[in-house]
Amino acid sequence: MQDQLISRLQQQDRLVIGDLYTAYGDALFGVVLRIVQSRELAEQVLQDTFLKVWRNGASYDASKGRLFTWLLNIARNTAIDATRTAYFQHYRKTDPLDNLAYSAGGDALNPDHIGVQEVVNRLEEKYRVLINLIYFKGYTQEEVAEEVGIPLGTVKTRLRYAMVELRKIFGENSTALLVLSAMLGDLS
Amino acid sequence: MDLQSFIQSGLLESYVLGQATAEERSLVERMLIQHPEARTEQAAIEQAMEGYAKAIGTPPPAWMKDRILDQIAQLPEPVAPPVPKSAIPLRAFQLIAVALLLLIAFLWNRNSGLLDESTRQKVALDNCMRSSQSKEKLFAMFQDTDTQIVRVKGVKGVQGNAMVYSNPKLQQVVLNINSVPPASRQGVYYQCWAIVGGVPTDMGMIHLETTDGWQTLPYIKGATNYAISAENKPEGNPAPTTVLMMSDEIKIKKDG
Repeated sequence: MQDQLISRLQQQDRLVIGDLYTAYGDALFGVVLRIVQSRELAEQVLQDTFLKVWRNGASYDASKGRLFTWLLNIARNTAIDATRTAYFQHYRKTDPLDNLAYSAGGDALNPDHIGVQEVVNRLEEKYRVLINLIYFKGYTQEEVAEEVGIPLGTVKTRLRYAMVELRKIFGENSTALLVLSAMLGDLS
Repeated sequence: MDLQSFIQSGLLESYVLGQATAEERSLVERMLIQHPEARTEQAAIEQAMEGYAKAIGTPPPAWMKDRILDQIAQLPEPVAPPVPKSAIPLRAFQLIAVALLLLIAFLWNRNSGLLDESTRQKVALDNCMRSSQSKEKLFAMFQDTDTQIVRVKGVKGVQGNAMVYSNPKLQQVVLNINSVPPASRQGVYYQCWAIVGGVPTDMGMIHLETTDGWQTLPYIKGATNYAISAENKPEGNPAPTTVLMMSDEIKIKKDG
C-alpha cells in the first residue's frame, strides 16, 4: 500500500493525491490547525500543502525517510510560512484565537482529542515547551536557545529526550496509544 | 562520530523534523547508510511523530478533497525528467553540438581514450542542455575552437574522472562534475583548484546537487593543471586538504 502510494506519487499519478488525502488528511490538518490556530487559514494551508505534494512528488526520496515524515514537513513548513505573512498577522489582531491550540475541547478541534492533550501535558514542562516551539511554532534550535535562555547543545539533547518521551506515548505499540485509541473508540 | 554519541546527539531528531543544516544532513545520511541501528532509531522517531500527528488529527471540511482534486486537475504536469516535445529542433542542435564537441575532443587528445566516455558525456551534456540557463553560452563555448578540454583524473587509486572545458579567449571555464567519485559524495565537500606556477588557486566549491552535473567556474589565467580536493567544510579551505583528482600538465594557450 505504502510502496504503491510512493511509486504513484513519483510517477505523478493525479489520483494518488486523493488517496494520500484520505490516508493522511486528518493528521496533517490537525497539525496545521495547531500551528496557524485559525480554521479558515488552516483550510487554505492544507490545500496548498497538497498542491505542493503534487508538484514535488517526484522529488520524494524513500531512502531518506518515511512518506508521512515528508508530507508532515511540507505541511508544517507551509503552515509556519503562513503564520509569518502579513495576512496572518492582521488576522490574528482582528480575530485572536490564542487559546485554540491548547483548549483541548475547543470547537475547532475534534472533541475526541481531549485525552491527547492530557497525555502530552504529562510531558515535563521543559520538553513540552521545546516540542511546542519547534514542532508547532517552527522555531529553529538557535531561536529556541535564545527564547528559553539555554545553550544550543542543551536544546539538542533536550530535543532528544523530548522525542524519547513522545516515543513512549505515540511510538508503535505504545501502551498510551493503545489506551488512547480504545478511549477514542468509546467516545465516537 | 561513533554510533552511540550520534544517537544521543539529537541530530536524528533534528533531521526528522526537517531542521538539520546541510552539513548535519549529510552527516546523518552517512550514518544512516553505515549503521542499521541508526535507521531503526530514525524509524522509531518517525513513528512517534506520525503517532502524535494522528492522535491530534482533525477531519478537514468535507468539501476540501474535491476542491484539491479539482485544482490539481487544472494544473499542468509537474516538470518531469523527459525532454519536452517542443524542444525537437533544439535537440537536433544539441546533437550537432555534441558531435562537434566529440570531434574537438578527439582531435585534441587522440590518445586519451576520450571517446570511451562519449556516451556518458552525451548524456551529461543532454542534462546540461535541459537545465542550464546559459545554454547558448555553453553552445558557443563548445563550438569555439579555442576551447580546451582537460581530463582531471583520480590520483592514488581514486576512481574519478572529471572534465574541465576551458577557453582562454572567452575567459570561460566549465566543469563537468558528473564524474566526481560518487562513493565519497556523502559528507565530503569538493573544491576545485587551478594550479598556477605550482600554487593551487581556489576556483570555488563544487555543487554536486544543484548544478545538474555542470558548473561554471571562474577563469584562472595561467593554469597549468586543474585539481579537485576533498574538504571537511562546506565553504572549503584556503589550501587543498586531500587532492583527489588532478589533470596532467596542460599547455598554456595564449590568454585573452
